[in-house]
Amino acid sequence: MKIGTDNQPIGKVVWIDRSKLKANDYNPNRQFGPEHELLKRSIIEDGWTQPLVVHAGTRVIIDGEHRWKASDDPRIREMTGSLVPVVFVEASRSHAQYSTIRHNRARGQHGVRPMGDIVVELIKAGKSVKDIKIQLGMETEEIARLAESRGLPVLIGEDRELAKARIPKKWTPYSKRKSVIAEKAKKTKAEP
Amino acid sequence: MADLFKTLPYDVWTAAKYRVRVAYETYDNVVVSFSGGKDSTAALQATIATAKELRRLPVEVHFYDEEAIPPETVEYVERVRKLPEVCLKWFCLPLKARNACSATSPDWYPFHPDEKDIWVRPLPANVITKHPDFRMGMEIAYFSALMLAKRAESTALVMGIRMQESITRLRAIQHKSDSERAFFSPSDKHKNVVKCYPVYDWLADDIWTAPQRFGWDYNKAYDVMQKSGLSIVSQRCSPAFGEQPIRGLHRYATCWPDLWERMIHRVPGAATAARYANTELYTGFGAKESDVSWKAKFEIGFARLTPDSRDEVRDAIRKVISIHNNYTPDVMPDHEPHPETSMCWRKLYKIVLAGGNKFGRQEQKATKDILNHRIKLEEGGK
Repeated sequence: MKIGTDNQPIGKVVWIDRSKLKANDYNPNRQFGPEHELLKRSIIEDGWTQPLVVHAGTRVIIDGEHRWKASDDPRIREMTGSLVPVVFVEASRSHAQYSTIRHNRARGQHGVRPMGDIVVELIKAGKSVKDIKIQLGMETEEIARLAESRGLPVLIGEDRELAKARIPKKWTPYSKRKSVIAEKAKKTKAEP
Repeated sequence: MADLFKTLPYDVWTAAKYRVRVAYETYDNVVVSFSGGKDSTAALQATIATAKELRRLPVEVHFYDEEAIPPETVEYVERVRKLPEVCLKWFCLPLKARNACSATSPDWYPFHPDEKDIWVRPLPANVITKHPDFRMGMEIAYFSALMLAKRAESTALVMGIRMQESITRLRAIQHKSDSERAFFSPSDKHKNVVKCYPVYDWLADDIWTAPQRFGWDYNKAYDVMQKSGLSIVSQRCSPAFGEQPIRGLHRYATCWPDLWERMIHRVPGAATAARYANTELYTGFGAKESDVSWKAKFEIGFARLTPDSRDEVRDAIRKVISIHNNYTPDVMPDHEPHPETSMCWRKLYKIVLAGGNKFGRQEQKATKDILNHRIKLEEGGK
């Protein structure tokens, strides 16, 4: 166990050029497009808030591979001149594997109900569906269902354009319509 | 289920071959409707074996490609297509498919020509992309029967449907057929097409035993699912975005991450359904106590549906409420089932959540619930 604030890795964050680090060969965590975009947004808007965990000898990333990948985005490169925050740790391969999985798995899951409450609060605070979609990497469907579960209708119109106008395929122009109606009336009268 | 059937002195493989033989003897053509799944593999093998005995090879096989399918399924169907015993027609038509992920886009169209840039996979080589009988808006079941009905001869369409898979299927087999020929289900619309279920009585264990016993080739997607720790029951190769299948949508992310990366962008709601399909957001249950009334949720969900879906829901709700009103003058309770009819807005909300063309079934479930409840009440009264 590491005792005392002086002995915590977080106290020794250093800035390293991203090109000096490399990904490990076992990371089981796969990040999909929408989440990766969300991660970039998080770094761009909130800045670097957490260091990557890196093996001191090999410079292989133990935790933070996706942040490291995101740091290749020109917008994020520009923030720090391609430097990323790193804490170095000593670890055997097995320990590094434990460490990778623990960093990923030890984070809990979001409850449906509290997520619904947050979405409702955001909407009531005047945030648009479009804004929430971008900020949280959600689809309209997710926002609408979460809000619905807490009794708040989401305005459908907010992220869609108006549909094209339509007219019936069989269409009698108004000028002709009067005569058509008159003809129909004649026919019905003619029948006994 | 056991008391509804009698046990025969021979095994399901012998029975399946016998059933296909009857199909060959009774109808001009036999066509296998093949999905690449384990059930349709058994149906296909039974048909090949029988055709061999009757010297009726090759077997005509129809495969409807639903685009969002694992690479192993594609490879397996390719192998089947190369079998000398088989003449396989590979359809890649934009047949209307269900998207249960979304309330606002209840349908999607695999390989729709206008959506080429978001297809999850490229069009395979040598497939059928145009057909004179195809019209936009047709579904697989409708099109496949229509196409066969246009032929001058009669056709038995062999399908790998098993009654163990669902009660609805069991009912379909019970009601639509006489006891002698439980394995045929005549089409309502077309006189010259019947569906044939040679493996209807196979159990899940039989489906897994037979390929090993007889050394059949099979879809290696099952191996991938097995490795990822899915139980045998949840290993399915079904259309990805359907009502029941979305409950296992998350498995695509674990088993086929590259495919899933494209599927997220293929239909609206895919990512949402993968995350929430088994929660109250899609099932309507789980949250028993709620400070929000179910009627309010119903109305919000209803407003979000497409106009067509809204019409379907409106009809369904009217029917259920009118039955409710036959038994009681009380208004529909919100959360607690009404003592006379067992109905409440919480149950009706499910009809909205089902979101789309499956409303009929949801309504049938609700009306059946009421009837069963009445039967219980009356029996209890005696």
